[in-house]
Formats: sequence, C-alpha cells, structure tokens
Amino acid sequence: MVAGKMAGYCSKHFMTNCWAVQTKFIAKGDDVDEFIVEPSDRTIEEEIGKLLTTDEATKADMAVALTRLTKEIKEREKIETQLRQSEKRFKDAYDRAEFYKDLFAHDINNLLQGILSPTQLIEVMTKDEKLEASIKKALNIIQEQVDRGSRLVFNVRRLSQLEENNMMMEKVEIVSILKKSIENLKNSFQDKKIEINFDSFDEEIFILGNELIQYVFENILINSVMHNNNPIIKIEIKVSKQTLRNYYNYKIEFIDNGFGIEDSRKNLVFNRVNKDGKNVSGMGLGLSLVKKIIEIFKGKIWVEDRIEGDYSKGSNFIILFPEMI
Amino acid sequence: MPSILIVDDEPSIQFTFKHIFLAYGFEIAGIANNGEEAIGLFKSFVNKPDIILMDHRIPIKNGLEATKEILQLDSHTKIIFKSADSSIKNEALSLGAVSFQDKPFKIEKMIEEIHKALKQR
Repeated sequence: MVAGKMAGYCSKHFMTNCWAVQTKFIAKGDDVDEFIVEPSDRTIEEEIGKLLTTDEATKADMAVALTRLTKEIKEREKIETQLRQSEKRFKDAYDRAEFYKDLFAHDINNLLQGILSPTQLIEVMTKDEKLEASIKKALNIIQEQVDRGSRLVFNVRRLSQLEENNMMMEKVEIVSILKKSIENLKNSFQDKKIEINFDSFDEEIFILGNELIQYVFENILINSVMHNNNPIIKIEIKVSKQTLRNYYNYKIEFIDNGFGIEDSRKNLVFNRVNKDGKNVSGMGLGLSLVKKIIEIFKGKIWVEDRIEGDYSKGSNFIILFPEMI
Repeated sequence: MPSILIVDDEPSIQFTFKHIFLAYGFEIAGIANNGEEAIGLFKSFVNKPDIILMDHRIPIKNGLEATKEILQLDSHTKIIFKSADSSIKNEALSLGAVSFQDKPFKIEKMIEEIHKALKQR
C-alpha cells in the first residue's frame, strides 16, 4: 500500500502517470519487498492489462493498480460532472442570447412599424398638396430612419445566421445578378440621377456561392449612392479575369465618384467593431457583412482610391472570386 | 367596397391601419386584439371580410393558430400576414395565407398586396 501511495504522490508531483514495479519479493525468499516508483506513459488500463497477463503480479501490485484505478475513476467522475455543468451553462447562455436576439429583432421591427404607419397616415390624411414642404421633409426623414433601422435588423439577423450555420453553396451566375442589382438600385433611388457603366469580359460568369451575392452587390452599390453628394452619381462596374499564382480569379470593381475613404479608414470600413471594441462609424454593419459573405465564398474584398493618392475623388471597391473549377 | 378585418394587439397599429385603410377606400369589418377574438368575430360576421390582416405574436391564440381555424371555417378566406417574425413565413404560407409582409412595411406595399389578393379567385 505504501508503494501505491508513493506512486500516487509521484503522479501528482510530476503530473504524469507513475507506477510502482516490485523488484524484490519476500514470498520468493528475498529479505524484503522492494518497489521502484517511476514515471510512465502507460495508462491505468494498460497497466492492469499487463498485470493480468503476467504470472508475476502480486497482491501488492494489484493493490497499487486498484488504488490508482479508484482514484482515476473518481477524477473522471469529477471531470464528467464539471463537463456536464459547463455544457449546461453554455446551453443556457446560448438560449439566452437567442432569446434576446429574437426579442430584439421582433420588437424593433414592430416599433419601426409603429413609427412608419402614423407618418404614412399623416401623408394620406393631409394629401400631398396640403403638406408644407418642411412637414413633408420631416416625414421623409422619419421614413428614412425606419428604413435604416429595418436594414440594421436584417443585417444583424443575417450576420448571426452566417456565424451559426454552414451555408449551402451552389453554382451562381453573377453577370445577371449584377444587372438585377443595378436595376434594383435605380428603382430604390428614383429621385437621384445615377449613371452606371457596366462592362464585363463575358456574358455569363459562374462562381461558387449562393443568393447572398445579390446582397453583396446591392450593398456596395447603395453605399456608392449614399456616400455621394454629386448632382450626378457615377458608378462604373468592371468585371475582368486575372491570374494569380497560376489560379484564375474574377475581379469585380465598383468605381464611384463619391466622398472616398481616407487611407486610415480603408480597412476599418469592413469592421463593425475594431480591436478596442469601439464601433467604427460610417458604413455600419453592411460592409462587415459583405466581407464575411465574400470570405465564405472564398473571395476577397478591399477598397482603393478611384484616383490613386487622392481619396476625395471616390472609391474603388474590388472583389476577387476564384474561378469555379 | 372591400372589407378588412384587422388582427393586431397593438393599439397604435390598430388606429393607424384603420384610418389609412379608410382613406384608401376600404371598409373596416372589425378589429381583433388576439387570435381567439379574430375567430369569434369571423364566426359572427354574416358577410365575411374580403381580407384578414393577421399579426402573429398576439395573445391567447397566435396568428398561425387563428389562421388555421379560420381557414377550416372557410377555406376561401384571404389572409395576409404582417409580422415582425419572419421565421414563420413559410408556415403561414403553407397553411394557406395568401401573402406575408415583414414588418416594417410601407403602406403602399400592403395596399398592393391587398389588391393582388382581391383579384385572386
């Protein structure tokens, strides 16, 4: 038993399995029982297996092994209990987060409806000609804020889905989606003068992605319009093919004449939260979601100046997608 | 004049929708605060409403439960869902709702959906 305790002490001290091996036996005529305790990478199962298959195992050997086995079982039970508790805590935290996310998304949208509807009721009740320009402007502002809030809820939901799920990927034709996105943009901003020049090296280009690609294109296009004060908003979309280390990539450039982005903010616009945990103001959640989607599609996105060295002349958002093999 | 039954537990929504639909020339068949009230009102109508505007997260019986029961009473009823809970969209449509509008929506979009539903036979 002393040998067993020594083995246990050594295991604890050296933080590895230690086993007692009997080298002298009173039962065989030696003057004493002698044990050597030494570290070993053998597990308790291997040790017991060895003892059971040898003729030399003594009661003392078995006592040492059983003491160790009892201790190990208790340790495993303790770890399993801790693991179960930890799993439960994790599940509780996950359920709470899901609950608040759902509550937030549902209640904010309800609240936005509560703001939007009275503004529309005022519009309807007073008829357009009776509305003073300033009231009309105020109503437009409220409605724009509702649109922004609604987009935020949508983005939070999408971002959360992206982080939770393995997304289904399929073959997607991007030229038609780009054309559809251009059409949607023009419909959404009918009061603005927008000139879009679209140039693609091919009529049909396929990538591995899914329907979220339209969200990506529309988000970049909407940013080009919203961050632009020119009387004529000009956007040029160029799709080309290029090689990079023997691999083909599709390059899509969205070049605008908007405010542009200072060099110090060029990487930050894709991060909703920076390393200090502070919000990066400006383009909101949209571009961080865009980046996440593109990365899931094995692509890359970055922004450059439209005119190199002069950010104030507009931006060039560049996306690279690998060619579908 | 097409008639609408509004099902929503939010008084501000009830008020604004009622007046907007009146201004657009619809008749308000009734307003229900919850799913059970909607079913009760529906049963009581001699002339059934042309459209039911259904919210989902409402007391006693939710929008899906109320829709199921109303469509069992009259499978031709045109129910348009308006909800901030888009996770039930597929279920609502497969139950037999004619349209699903995510809140918040512009009233013009809802009017368009109502006209589309009215044209369906």
